[in-house]
Amino acid sequence: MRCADVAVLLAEQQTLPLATTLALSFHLHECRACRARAAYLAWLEGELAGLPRVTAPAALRPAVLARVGEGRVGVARGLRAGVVGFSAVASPVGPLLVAYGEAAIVRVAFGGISEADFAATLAGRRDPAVRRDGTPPAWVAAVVADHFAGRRLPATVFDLQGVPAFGRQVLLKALEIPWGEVRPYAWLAREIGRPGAARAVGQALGRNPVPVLIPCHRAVRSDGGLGGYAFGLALKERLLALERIR
Amino acid sequence: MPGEAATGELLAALVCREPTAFERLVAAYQDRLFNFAVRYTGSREDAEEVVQDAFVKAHRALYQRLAADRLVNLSLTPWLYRIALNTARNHCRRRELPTAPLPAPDEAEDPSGGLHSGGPEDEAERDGLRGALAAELRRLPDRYRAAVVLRHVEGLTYAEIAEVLGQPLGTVKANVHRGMLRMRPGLAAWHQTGCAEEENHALR
Repeated sequence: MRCADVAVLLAEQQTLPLATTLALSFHLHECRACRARAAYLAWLEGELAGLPRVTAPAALRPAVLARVGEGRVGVARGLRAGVVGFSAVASPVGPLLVAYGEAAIVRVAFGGISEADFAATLAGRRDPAVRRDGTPPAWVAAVVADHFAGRRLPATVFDLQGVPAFGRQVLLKALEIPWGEVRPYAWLAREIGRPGAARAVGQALGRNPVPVLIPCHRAVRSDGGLGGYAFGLALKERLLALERIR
Repeated sequence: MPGEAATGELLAALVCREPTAFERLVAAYQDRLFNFAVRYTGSREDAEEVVQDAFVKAHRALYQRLAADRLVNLSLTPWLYRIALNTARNHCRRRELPTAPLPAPDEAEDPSGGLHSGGPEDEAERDGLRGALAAELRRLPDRYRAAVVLRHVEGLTYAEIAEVLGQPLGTVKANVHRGMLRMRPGLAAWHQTGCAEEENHALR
């Protein structure tokens, strides 16, 4: 081992294979210059890591928020208007009842849920007078068509503000499962950094406010079992069959 | 420092355009980015401007430019450091241009000991080891300084730094190492004792 090799190895001492570590320590034992250099590097690392942390001045956050136009209610670009209307959209699994705001889909139901029941679940939201549209807005029809054409929908077409943080992470991850594929609940749990939370993932998927479009039906059990479905297993099977999975 | 799960939650909130999401992002990262900017620019005033500008750029990217699909898989931490670093670089360039032409990196040594006009954060640091460390960092050519500060002051992994700098892992490792060695002559007065102790320890 040459001194030049030592220089490189010192930078990654924690990850070296055993034989290299041994060769390195042998060289360090023999070579005074490399030993001094290694000592210097260790010392400097310690000193740099020990520099006192400086905290941001208190004025920084308000200044940033003022510059981006946040910090005032109602200005945030992301604020959605809640539900403005709903409509029945034809689909290969029967009519989907879709409720939407100005620019995002808020809720979906299907499988024999009556319009009256669906409208009742929407009442009490921000807008009490929910419109029943005879035909869905073009963008809503396009989103549904995109889904059944196997295209992945962007997260921004959904309004998930009523969903708690954990559930939202689960749903956004489920949105990434491609058409024609399934993933175990445990996979979703791992992907969002909560391995071991497979059961909670299942529950969060069961509360998916926009089923079908956020494809919670593509989550199954690790042993190949279908798992559950809020609208009944028959519909889950139909949705999967449509994607030629079963 | 926000953990992986917390970062994921923050991203989800950003994707869903939750009204408080950006504010939470600022709260979670302002101290890290500010500390980084102070160590990188050598001045609190510069750092404050840099971090403000960096957050404004991040906001623009998050809310106007980035497609939601890309956003969901963003590595938030390296991405934010990258914006802060680029902002700091531009800031330093702007500041230095009118007064003097940019010196070649190797001649960037500055008779004042490398302390920027704003100075490090407290008077006590002007003297002593910490002042010397700040001065030596400030004197390093940019490619080494960024790598050393991100690795050993901010504690990012080599992989994260590679993402911040857009460089291969090997280049990052080499630059961290070379940067550390470049600071050696300037720090000789301080590491002599530490070095001697280490050697005694090794010989025992």
